[in-house]
Amino acid sequence: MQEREGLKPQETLFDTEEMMLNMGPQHPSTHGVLRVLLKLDGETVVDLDCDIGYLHRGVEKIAEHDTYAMITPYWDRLDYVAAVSGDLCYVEGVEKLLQVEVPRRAEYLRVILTELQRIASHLLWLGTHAIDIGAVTVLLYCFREREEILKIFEDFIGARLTAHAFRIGGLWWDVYPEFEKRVRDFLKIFPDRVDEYETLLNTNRIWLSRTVGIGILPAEEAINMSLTGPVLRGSGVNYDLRKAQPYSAYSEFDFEVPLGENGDTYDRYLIRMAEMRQSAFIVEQALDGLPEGPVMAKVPKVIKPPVGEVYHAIEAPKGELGVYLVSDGTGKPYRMRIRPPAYINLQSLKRMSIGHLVADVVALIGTIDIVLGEVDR
Amino acid sequence: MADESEDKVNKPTTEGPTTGADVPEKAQPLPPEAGSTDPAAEIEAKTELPAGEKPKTEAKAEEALPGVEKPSKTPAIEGASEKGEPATPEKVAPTPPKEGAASVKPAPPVKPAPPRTPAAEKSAGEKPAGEKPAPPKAATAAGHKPAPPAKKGPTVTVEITGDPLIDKIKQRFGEAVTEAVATFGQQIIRVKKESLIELCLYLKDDDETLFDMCTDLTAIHWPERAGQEFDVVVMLYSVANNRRLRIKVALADGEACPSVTPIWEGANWMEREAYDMFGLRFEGHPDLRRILLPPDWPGHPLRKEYPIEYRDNEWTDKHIEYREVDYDTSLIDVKYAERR
Repeated sequence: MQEREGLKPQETLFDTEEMMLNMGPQHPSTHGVLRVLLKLDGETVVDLDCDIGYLHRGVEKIAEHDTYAMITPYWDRLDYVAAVSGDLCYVEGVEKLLQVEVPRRAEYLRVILTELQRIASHLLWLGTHAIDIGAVTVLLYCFREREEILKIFEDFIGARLTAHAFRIGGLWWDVYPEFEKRVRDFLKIFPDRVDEYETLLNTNRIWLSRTVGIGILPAEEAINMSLTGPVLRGSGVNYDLRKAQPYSAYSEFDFEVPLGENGDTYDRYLIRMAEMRQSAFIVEQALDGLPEGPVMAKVPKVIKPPVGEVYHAIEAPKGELGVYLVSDGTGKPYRMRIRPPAYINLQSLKRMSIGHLVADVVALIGTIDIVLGEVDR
Repeated sequence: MADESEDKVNKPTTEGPTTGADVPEKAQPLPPEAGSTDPAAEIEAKTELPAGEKPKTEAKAEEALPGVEKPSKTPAIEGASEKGEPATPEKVAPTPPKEGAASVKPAPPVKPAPPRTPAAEKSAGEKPAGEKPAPPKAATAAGHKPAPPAKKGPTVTVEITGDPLIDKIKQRFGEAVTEAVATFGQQIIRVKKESLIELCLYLKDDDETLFDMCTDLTAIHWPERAGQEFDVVVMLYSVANNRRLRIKVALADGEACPSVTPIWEGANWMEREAYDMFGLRFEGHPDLRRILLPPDWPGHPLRKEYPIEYRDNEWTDKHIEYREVDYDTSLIDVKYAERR
């Protein structure tokens, strides 16, 4: 309320009144079907409310009626621009429950695919974020590289977007012979391409004026709001699950966790750019050390985990993607809870937007990096 | 294959009557042996073996049992009858569910068993709904502890011992902390509803614990647990100590849970989702509205009684209307103005 008081024009000749503005759910800058209700004073946001649920499919309910293996494809369709990451989270959660050890080759291939997926997801984010703010060129450039990754996925997994890459216990099949060469070809060109995006944006005056100082989140507030992923690291909090609680084979790779200083939109942009470079570096290491051997562990055909519960979380491109599985000893989970990073990060939109202009709300939706398939589940 | 199956089909018919006759005899020796391994064996027998083989396994168990039993029983009788007596009620108590489990085929004897199992489950505390007679027995044998440790295979749930933080919490909150276990190395504390806020404030503010992030908050519905139908699960993370902790609170249906949103702002939408999906009320929540479903949606989908193929036609009839589209633009403008 104090902020609101501060924003109100002082005694003037003209009376102003607050206006309600409805944004979405068909607005292209809301990245899907997010509806945002804005209360405006002139062009300044006074209050904001998100209306979500347009894509709600009840995945958690469906999971209670499906066997453990049948649930995996639903995870591709949560965050549909980072399907492989979703798979990894669920599959590792079930493996934890079954106490299955995955072959090392499968672990390495999982890391390679997940990091490629992170690059693809960040590229899509960068392209759409830039086009929201007005830089159209970047989108075309980003999709050029993203296409390469999707082609690698398509030839290996059979799908471009909803790539059902992993099975409980490993991978369904080994990679095709040219896989390594194609990934290496991509890695060869990719760092230069990131430089290219940065020449377009890093010192671009319009980009700077639209992102620097917009949506500043102090570290304590970011933690208190349960934010994770680049949004949290933009505020300078060193929390990356790949380092903090390593899963899969991440403890064997050398990489850095980029951190921001100011916690504004520009920092979050820089972090994602740096993350793409780090991901490429991880993929390179994984390819160099790729062990030989099987890609599938011995897993019973009918999966019946012991009675118990497990929480497993991975560092998805959007943040901490978690699964909480409660098993009652039968072939179907008693309860499956998805901890969606985008859903929880979206909470901070209100906090970040108040006091900024309507146009900044668009930039802020972009900086959180939401995918409504995951927000609504 | 056809021959085999015929044989299998034939067997139960020949042996069926004998098993029926054997039931009273078997029921007595079986239960004491039940211990930990038997329930799993039973489940296997139920699910995997064809009906014809069941009598055999039972017979084997029966043969094995007396041999094990006798040495333990006889000294009790020889030494003191008092010792023997307290032992017997324990053994007698599980018998009725056992009877039901052992004789799967003959329907009538099974029926008396189910009503007793819920009672046993209540006493055992936390218990999943799916398994019927076996786990309660294992739980009673283990001394009123949750079923998981008694299950066959690797023990996944163990009591936490020697953890300084958990010990400190136990010491500070005493009886309010009813359970402190670790599953797959993940620590879970069960706390009474009244002490939830106090515990959360302590965990957040204390310099040693410093659980500054509420990673997730959700609920689980256990319709069989009378008086404790819901578990609210709060997952905490400490950025400074890189440590996780899970807090559980049991609630009765219709009971309100104290909200942790004033403590961790991030719990806001998580609690709204729990309200939306389970109908749980969170006292002290600043803005408790439905979040994923429409405000007037009937029912709460993640409750177990909510059917999966539920299509609410009333709601759709009310909200989705099919209208004739008039392409005269002036008319559309008028309609739009009217609607506003």
